[in-house]
Amino acid sequence: MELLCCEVDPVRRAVRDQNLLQDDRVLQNLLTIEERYLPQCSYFKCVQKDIQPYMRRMVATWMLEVCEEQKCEEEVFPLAMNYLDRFLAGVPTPKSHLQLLGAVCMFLASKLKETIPLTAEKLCIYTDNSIKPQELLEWELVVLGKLKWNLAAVTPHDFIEHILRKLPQQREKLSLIRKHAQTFIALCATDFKFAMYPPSMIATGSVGAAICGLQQDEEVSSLTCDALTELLAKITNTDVDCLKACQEQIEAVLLNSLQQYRQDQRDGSKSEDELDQASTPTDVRDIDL
Amino acid sequence: PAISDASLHSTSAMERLVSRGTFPTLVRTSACRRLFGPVNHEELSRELRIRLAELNAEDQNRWDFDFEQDVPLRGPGRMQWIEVDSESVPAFYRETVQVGRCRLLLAPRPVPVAVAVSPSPEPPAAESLDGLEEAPEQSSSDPTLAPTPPLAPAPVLATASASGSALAPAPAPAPDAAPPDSAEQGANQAQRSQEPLADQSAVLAPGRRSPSPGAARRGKRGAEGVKHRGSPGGLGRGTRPRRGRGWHPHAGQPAPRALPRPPLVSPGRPALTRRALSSADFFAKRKRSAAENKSSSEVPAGCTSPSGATGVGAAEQTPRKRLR
Repeated sequence: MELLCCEVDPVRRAVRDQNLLQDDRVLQNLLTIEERYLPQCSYFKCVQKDIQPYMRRMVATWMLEVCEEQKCEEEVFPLAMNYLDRFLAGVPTPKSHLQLLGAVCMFLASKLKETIPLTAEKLCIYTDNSIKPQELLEWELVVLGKLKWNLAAVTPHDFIEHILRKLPQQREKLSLIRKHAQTFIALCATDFKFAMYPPSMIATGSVGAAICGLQQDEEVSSLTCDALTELLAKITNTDVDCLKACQEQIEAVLLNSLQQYRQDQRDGSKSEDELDQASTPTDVRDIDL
Repeated sequence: PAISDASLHSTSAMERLVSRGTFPTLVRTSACRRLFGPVNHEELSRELRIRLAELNAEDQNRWDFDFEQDVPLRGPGRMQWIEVDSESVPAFYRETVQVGRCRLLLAPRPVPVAVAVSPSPEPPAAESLDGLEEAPEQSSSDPTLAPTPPLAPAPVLATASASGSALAPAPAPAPDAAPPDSAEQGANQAQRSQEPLADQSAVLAPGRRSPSPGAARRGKRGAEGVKHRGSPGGLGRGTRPRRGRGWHPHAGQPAPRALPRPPLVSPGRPALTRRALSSADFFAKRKRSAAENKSSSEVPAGCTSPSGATGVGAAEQTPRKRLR
C-alpha cells in the first residue's frame, strides 16, 4: 500500500536548524530579550476586578484541551497563554469575556506557529458557540493592538533544544526527556505562579524535573540531580537556588495535577474516553514519581 | 477491493490533512464548553468599541495622524508629514483596489502635497514591548509619548520651511521625482481635505524629496498597521482597497518605537476596509529638524525638554507653519 505515504504526519515542519541551535549567540539573545515578553504585573492584584486566579486556570485548562485535541504544535499553548497574560496585565476584562480572549490568543498563537492554523469557526465551536467568529476576528485586532503586535514572544520551548544540546545525555533518551519537559512546560503555563518567571527558568526547571523524574526508573543521566541542577543553572545563567525552587514547584504542580487526575478517575463521573482528552497533560501518567 | 481500500485510505488521510483547516463538522467533545456562562454580545461589542477607540487614540497620538479621516493631525505635534506625488513612488506603494482576485493599481492623480514629520526623541528602546503597564483605562495618550515632546523652536522651522530647506535634515533624501508644478494641485487637493495642508503644501513645494525606499517601506508599515485598527471588523471580499493614500512618516532616523508593529499575522486580521479611497497617493516624510536633533542629543530619549511647548505655540501662529 504505497498510498499509505499519506499517513505520515501531514504537517510540514522545518527541520531543526543546527546553525541556530549550535550558536551560543542565539541562546544569549534569547536570554537577553525574554523578559520583555513577560506580563508587566501580577494582574489579579492590580488590574483585574472580575477575574480570579481560578478562572485563569479554567480558561488555561480549556485552552490546553483544545490545543491537544487539535494537535497543535507544542509551542502554541504556552504562547497563547503568554498573550493572554500580557493582555490581562493591561486591560481589565470581565470574566464573561475571558473565554473569548483565550480563543483569540490561541487563534493568534496558532497562526504564528503552525502551518495549518486553527480556524475561527473551529475555535468558536469549542466555546460551545458562545462567541461568533466575527467577534473573534474583531477582538483579534484588539489583542494585537494591546500587545503592540509583538507576537513573537520567547517561550520556554525556545530554550529546550539549547539546553538539551549541552547535557551529557544518551541520545536515545533525549526524545523522552524532551517530551516530558514539554509536558511540564504546558503544566506551568496553566498555573499563574509561573506566569512571571522567565521562560528560560521554566525551561531549565522543566528539563531538570523531566530528567530527575525519569532518573528514578532508570539511568538516563550520568549526573546526580544536584549536579544536573548546577549544570542546568549554568547553561541558562539562572541562579541555582531559584532553579531548585522552580523545579520543586514544577514537581509540586505535577503532583497536584496527578492527584486531581486520580480524583477524577475515582469520581468516575467521566468516561475513560473523556478523561483521555480532558486530563491536563496526557502523558502525566507516564511519569512515575 | 485492494485499490478501493487504498483510495479510501488516502481519502481519509487527505481529510485529516485538511481537517485542521476545513473539516466541516467537529466531533463534539468535552472540550466544547462555555466556561463562564452566557456572553452578552451587546456588552462585548460595546467593550470592543471602547478598546478600538483607545487603540485609535494611541495611534493618533503616536503618529500625529488621524487614521479615521486619513489626514495628519493639525499641529503642533511630534511629526511632520509630507505628502508626495504618487508618481514619484514605486508602484508597490500606490493605492490599489482588489477586485476579486485581481489587484488593480489606481490611476494616479497628479496630487502632490507634502507634509513632513519630525519625531520627538523616542522613548528608550528598553521600554516594555507591550506597554501594557499603562493604566488600561487611559485612552487619550500613550504616557511614554505624552506630554507633547519638545519640538524645535518655531522660528527655525518657519524659516526652514519657507526656504524649503526644512527637508534637508532628511537622512536619505532621494532626488525629487515629482514635477514642480504639481505643488499647486497639491495645495488644492489639500484644501479640500483639510485646511492646514494648504499652507503646508505651499511651503513644501520647492524642496520636495522622496525618501529612500527603505524608509518608505518602514513608514508604510506604520501607516498600514494603524489603519487596520482604524477600520476593524471589515471583512469585505469584493472590492477592497489595499492601500490608502500613502502618508508616510519618514523613518530615516533610527527610532526604536517609531518602527510600528509589523503586521505579523495577516491571514486572520480583518481585511482592510476603508470607507473610501482617497484620491491621491501620498508619501509622508518623517524627520528630525535640526533644532530637534540638538534637543534630542541633550535630552535623554523619552524625556521632554521644557523649551518645547513655547516653540510649538509660536509655530502655530506662523502662517507657513509646517509643524502642527
